[in-house]
Amino acid sequence: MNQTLSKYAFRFFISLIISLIFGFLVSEGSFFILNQGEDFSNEDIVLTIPNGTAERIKNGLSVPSIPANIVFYQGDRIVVNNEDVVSHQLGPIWVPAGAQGVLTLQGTEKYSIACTFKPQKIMGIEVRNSVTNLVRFQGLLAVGLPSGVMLFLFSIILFPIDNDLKNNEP
Amino acid sequence: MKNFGFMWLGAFVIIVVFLGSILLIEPYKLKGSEITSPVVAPSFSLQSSHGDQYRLKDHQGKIIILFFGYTFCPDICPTTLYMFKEVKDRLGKNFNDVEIVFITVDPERDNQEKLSNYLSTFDNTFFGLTGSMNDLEKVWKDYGVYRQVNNVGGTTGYLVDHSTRLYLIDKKGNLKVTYPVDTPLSDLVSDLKFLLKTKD
Repeated sequence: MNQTLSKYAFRFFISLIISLIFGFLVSEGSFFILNQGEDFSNEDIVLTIPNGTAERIKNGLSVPSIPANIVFYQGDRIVVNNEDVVSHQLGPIWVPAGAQGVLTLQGTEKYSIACTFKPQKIMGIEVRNSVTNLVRFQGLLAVGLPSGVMLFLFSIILFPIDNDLKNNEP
Repeated sequence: MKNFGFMWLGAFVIIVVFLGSILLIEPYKLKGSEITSPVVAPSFSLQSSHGDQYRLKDHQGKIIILFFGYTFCPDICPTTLYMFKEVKDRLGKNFNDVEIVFITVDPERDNQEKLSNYLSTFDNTFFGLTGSMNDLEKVWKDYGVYRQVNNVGGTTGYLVDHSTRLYLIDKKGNLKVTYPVDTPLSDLVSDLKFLLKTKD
């Protein structure tokens, strides 16, 4: 009896391995297509505010170009290096003169934020969902585990284990 | 040999659980905007609602949350002070290492007594600071505080538009994190708990 159960367990193990490989290919393939081949890892987006920016804005002069809208992914970090002699603000990030401010983007959102180092004083930010390792692991399990159970059930119908035991009897 | 199948299955489950737990463990990320290069919080010395002079440098070793507002504020200031009261309740005895400091942007009306009465409706341990216009202007500038008197001559008195950022000064006296005023209470409490546990 124990030997039979052990054979079921081994069959289940093999089913899980096969289905997890299948799950890996399906989930990673989906993520790859959804992300259009982009890298999964989070990035630091560094913005540097040069010395004299506040003065230039005050005098109506142009400042180094910063995109009007930037797309981020959850977990990305906005790093603002303030090389100016006054403090600057980018939405929730306030950076004293000569310092560095960092914000880790943790929620998905699309919004316009106040920005002191752009002449328009406004900047669009979109934070999209990112594919973390945990999400990828969950995707693997979500596909792999149910498939493993199904594969195991089909396999014991198509190749019954009891028959193996009977066939092995002298 | 009999339990060969169970051994494989057991090992498999252990590996999956182990990998799952590794992926779940992530280093703590502060919810606010962090100032990563150490910047000493600009010093100040102002009259405190507790009756004495509040010198920032004398309060090193405590985590200080700075907020700028005024007692006649109809909306943001009372809401924020109520949130601080909630923060205190949630931190319990850990709040002994935290100080809430409310600096006025309306020194014409917010004197020591007015601040003391106002803050006592929230919590007696909160510090309300006021001073001369010259002293306060320096503090506002150092902390990048916007302030604009509005609606002068109205029947209900004037209003003061002001920035509402929260500043967290760490135990070493460095500006560590800033928060927008609408930061969820849970985020603020979570960061404070983390910073209180941190040795430095």
